[in-house]
Amino acid sequence: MLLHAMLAVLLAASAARADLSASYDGSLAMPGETALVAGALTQAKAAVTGTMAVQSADAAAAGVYFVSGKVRGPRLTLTGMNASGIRLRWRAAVKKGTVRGRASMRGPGHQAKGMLILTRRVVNPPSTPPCDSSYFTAQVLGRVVQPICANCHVAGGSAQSANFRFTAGDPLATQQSLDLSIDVANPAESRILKKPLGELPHGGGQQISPGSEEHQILQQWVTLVATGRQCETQPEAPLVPIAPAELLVRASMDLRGLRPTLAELDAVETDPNAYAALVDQYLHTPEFLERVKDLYDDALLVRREDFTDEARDKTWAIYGEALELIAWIVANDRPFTEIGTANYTVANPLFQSDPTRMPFPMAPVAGPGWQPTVYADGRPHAGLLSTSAFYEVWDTNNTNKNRRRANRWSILFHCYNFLDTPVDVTRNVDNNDADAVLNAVTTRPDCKACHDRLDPLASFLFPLDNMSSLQDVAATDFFSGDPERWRDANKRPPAVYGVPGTDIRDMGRLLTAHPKFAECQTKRAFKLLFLRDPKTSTELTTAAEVASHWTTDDGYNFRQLVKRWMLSDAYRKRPQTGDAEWVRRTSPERLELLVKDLTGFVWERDPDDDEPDADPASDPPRMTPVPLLTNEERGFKVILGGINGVSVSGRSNSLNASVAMVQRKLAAMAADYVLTNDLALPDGQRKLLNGVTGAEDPSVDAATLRADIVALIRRLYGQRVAPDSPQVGGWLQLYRRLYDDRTQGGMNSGQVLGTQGERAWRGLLVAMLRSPKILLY
Amino acid sequence: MRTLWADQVTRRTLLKLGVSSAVLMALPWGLRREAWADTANPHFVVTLVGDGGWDVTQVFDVHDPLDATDGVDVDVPQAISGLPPSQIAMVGGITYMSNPTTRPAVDAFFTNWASRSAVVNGVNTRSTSHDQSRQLVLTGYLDPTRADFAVMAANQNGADMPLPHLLLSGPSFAGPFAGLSGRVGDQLGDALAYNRVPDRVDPNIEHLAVSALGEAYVQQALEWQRTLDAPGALSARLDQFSDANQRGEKLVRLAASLPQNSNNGAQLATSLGSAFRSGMTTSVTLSNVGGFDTHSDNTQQNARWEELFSFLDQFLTGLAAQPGLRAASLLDETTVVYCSEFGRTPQLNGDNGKDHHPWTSMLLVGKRVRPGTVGMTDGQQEGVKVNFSTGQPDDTGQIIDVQNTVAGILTLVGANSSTYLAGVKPFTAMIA
Repeated sequence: MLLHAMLAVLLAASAARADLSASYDGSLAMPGETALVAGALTQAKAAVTGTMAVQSADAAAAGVYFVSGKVRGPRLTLTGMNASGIRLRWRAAVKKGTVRGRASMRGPGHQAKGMLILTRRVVNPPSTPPCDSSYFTAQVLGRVVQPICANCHVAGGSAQSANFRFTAGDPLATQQSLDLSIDVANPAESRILKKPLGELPHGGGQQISPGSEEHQILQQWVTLVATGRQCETQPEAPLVPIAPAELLVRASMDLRGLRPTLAELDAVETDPNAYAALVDQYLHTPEFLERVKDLYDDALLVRREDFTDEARDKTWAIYGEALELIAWIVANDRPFTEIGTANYTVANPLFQSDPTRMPFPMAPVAGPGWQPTVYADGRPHAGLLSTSAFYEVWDTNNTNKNRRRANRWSILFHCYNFLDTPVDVTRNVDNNDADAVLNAVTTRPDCKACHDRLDPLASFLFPLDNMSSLQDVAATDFFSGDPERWRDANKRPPAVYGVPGTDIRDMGRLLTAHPKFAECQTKRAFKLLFLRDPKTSTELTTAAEVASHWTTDDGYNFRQLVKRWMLSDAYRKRPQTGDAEWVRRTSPERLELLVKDLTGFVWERDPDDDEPDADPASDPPRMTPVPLLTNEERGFKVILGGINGVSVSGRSNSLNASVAMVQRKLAAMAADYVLTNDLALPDGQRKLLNGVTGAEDPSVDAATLRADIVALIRRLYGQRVAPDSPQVGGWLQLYRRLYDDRTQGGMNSGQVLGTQGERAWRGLLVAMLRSPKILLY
Repeated sequence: MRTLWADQVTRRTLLKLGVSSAVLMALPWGLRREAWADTANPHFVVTLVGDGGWDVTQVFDVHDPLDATDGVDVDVPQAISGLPPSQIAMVGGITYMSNPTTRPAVDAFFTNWASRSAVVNGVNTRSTSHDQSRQLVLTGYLDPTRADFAVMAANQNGADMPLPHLLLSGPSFAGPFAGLSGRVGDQLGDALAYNRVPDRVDPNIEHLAVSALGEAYVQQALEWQRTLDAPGALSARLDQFSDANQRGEKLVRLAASLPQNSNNGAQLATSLGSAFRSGMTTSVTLSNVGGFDTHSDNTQQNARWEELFSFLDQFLTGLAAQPGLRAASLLDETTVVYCSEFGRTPQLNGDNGKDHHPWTSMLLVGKRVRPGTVGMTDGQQEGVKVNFSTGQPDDTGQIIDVQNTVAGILTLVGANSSTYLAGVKPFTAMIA
């Protein structure tokens, strides 16, 4: 009988000792308030650990408690502390799905007791098992879970106890996990929506904003799951192939900013398979390298313009080192990972010519172009991470502690901007108290969510503390800071997403080895072409495939990366229904190059002799004109959507009155230039008016004019049209009208120069260059 | 073959096609000037952004320097700076921090304009990042699809104008209203004279690329080509292109009124006044004073405040001296908003500077502004709960967030703020 009783006790004990690993919802009833509580517990034998997020009006008591304790039979004891230093102690009884008991909270100037009840969340799995959903993979996973949630909701992450977990390489498992957070009966109350918005206690705080694209994507998924439609094929706008010539025009403009030649257009129209070879050709042009530099400066924001003509090129060189290194790596088919690992940098003679402006010793280069070299000041070389001007542009101070620099490297290498997280820095942290701030970023979960990853990155950069200005620094100062300063400054040893390192060489190696590197550069290569991030399921799915091939098959060759995009359906097809986001607007750089290529005209001015020549320290006089569309001097660069890296850091592709008028002015000047120059040159050497006499009379030369217009359309827009097409007819009618227009003719100011034919040709060119097909493609 | 063209160009034809000023200027029809401003109830907005994060405890957010229990360092100690301490002053219902030695322009400003000014204190920016906070202060969100209040005001009060929002300098977020907002470079006047081309020999002489009549033909031809292109690949943006050109046309007619960015307040007032009266624009943004990011030596703030208030005094004087479209003065029809991305920590750091602090103030002057100080911060210089109608401390009220001020400014300019910021309660205490 005694044995029987002992067995009964043992059985009862084991029955009571149910695994507590689960998510919980509950409340803490205190005098004057009942606070909401959400918890996630993990049990391993008798040990229990986890988190409890308390949403209380009492700011000191609120927050996330990291708890630990033991369960013995039906008794659970947990203790923990929140970021405000409030200690929680809880003795509870476990009964079926509920854990209930008195809790006490004590801390500096604070004491409270109450009844804490947690109820195990009963998770009703969706009726439809997880499925291969392109919407989930591309949108939910690709645009929300991976870039945001996966920072914590992974094995080993700070939210590993939570029900929701991202499993790398297993979208079905992730989907299954995420779907457990969906309330099918009340979709709007789903935890997957409310937690990242901060509307339910969330260890990571608010991670997305209401109404944001990320929020909408999650809402859409919740709706699909709640209505059992998540496995249906999500319709996207059907794509149709782009005609060969049109495709080549896009490719040439995207990669170079130029139209294809007539021979190239003929080639693809004869054989569409010629497209791939032409893409290869375009990828090996200097114009492509300029587009790559533009692209990466959009992320780095290092370029600076000097308004002194004589110093203009030198300043451009000094601040362009990082971009020239990128271009060199691409041009020489080096693995693109060398942007973080190269044991060299690049320089040209101009870059090395002025030690007052570039004070760091380097091995001298010979010859005119940018070439590999090394610094001789003892700095470790790690690709872009060891270039000089970046650290002047992105300076730091005692409170920032290199975070700004680290964030910029995160943007460049991983396309992750820590400042995109909508965190509220206001509450309960004395920004004036450095210790309080340090305590917050090292203990408070909503701060740690970012600082656990950002600060270790910053810790690599403390040796660069003394590098703040190229002008006020000694030749050995670049890498002279204390590499151990992290021990006091942010208390986080150097690491990239938890993998430790020592100096910037490790930083570069780890940044480029991380999967985010390939994902990011793949996305950025897309942006080179589309001027935006991938959005549609086709684009996101293709991005994943391209990134995968880039690492396994292409040896991180950047040209190959771009080429994969160029050969994909995402690029070679377009939405059947018009989509404004699919239509590009030329950047100021591409527009200047395009107009120059088509007409020979560059809107420019003569250089100024603006440094005292008698001063031996002055730069030599500039001999080349200064282009006006691609600098800030007259504002056209920024009007046309360009950036200057200082006050304008984001490109614009919009169409507004200012843009339209700049195009008109450019068209008028370019047209006049063509008329003047082409007619002075023999046929075959002209830009646009081959075969034109300038005296064509539309009443007798209509057929010739039609042929000329056909050629112009071909050259200017890349389109092939028939001589009797309505397009040609419209332009011919314009020519006719202009030919007959005798008003305001003359040689004086405010009059129209030229013969009837010259006036007509000029006016026709003005109109054709004002076409939207010059600005848009 | 379809054609839009009349065989004879008549005035009616030209007007129907919306031809350019070049044509109209050349023709003796007396259509030289047209205005698109809402002359019934004009409301112009000028948004000024002080760059760097100003220390509001030096002017707007009053904390007694002699109060040892208040945790705010208003000044760098005199023993270090050699400068006399600031003191609390009151003029016309505005209480502010005065220092006649280090920033006399502040006193002059409030003496002149307190009766038309509102100070809003205790605004929560939620961030201490320059870029992030600029966006938050101006739009209320970190969402790149959101527009700032200057652009939204332009959409509200001047959507049909050539350039409803004019960005002279500084940050701006156009969001869905990108077509309404444009930068005006110093030489945009060059572009507006789009039909003029320099002589081949003497660039000081300018010829016409086409005659005025020719310009009409060009526009007809482009319109015809647009109809042919409509089914094509670019169709989704042809309407935007057309709209941009139509607005540009209007801008050309008003080229003489194109404002020039200037650090001289009086000149800017004259320039903007011309732009407003001509119907070119209804909302302007510029950032003309910076350098507030004083992580070391907070006395550097003094020169910034001097510059800001000297400029603002001149600017408001200039606006007040010009006649309005309907009211006595242009200032009666204009609201000026001055803001910065965040404030600075209440206490000095080890370098006698101040670091970033997510609480700021705003200054509003002019039309529909209720004079006085509203909102408040506590001894830690953090905002307290206030009544959104009165702006006075109220435990049953709420903290002023940047979303509330953005919604409030939209309300001030006559918009239904919920149209732009759904579910956000506007802070209206500064509205008359």
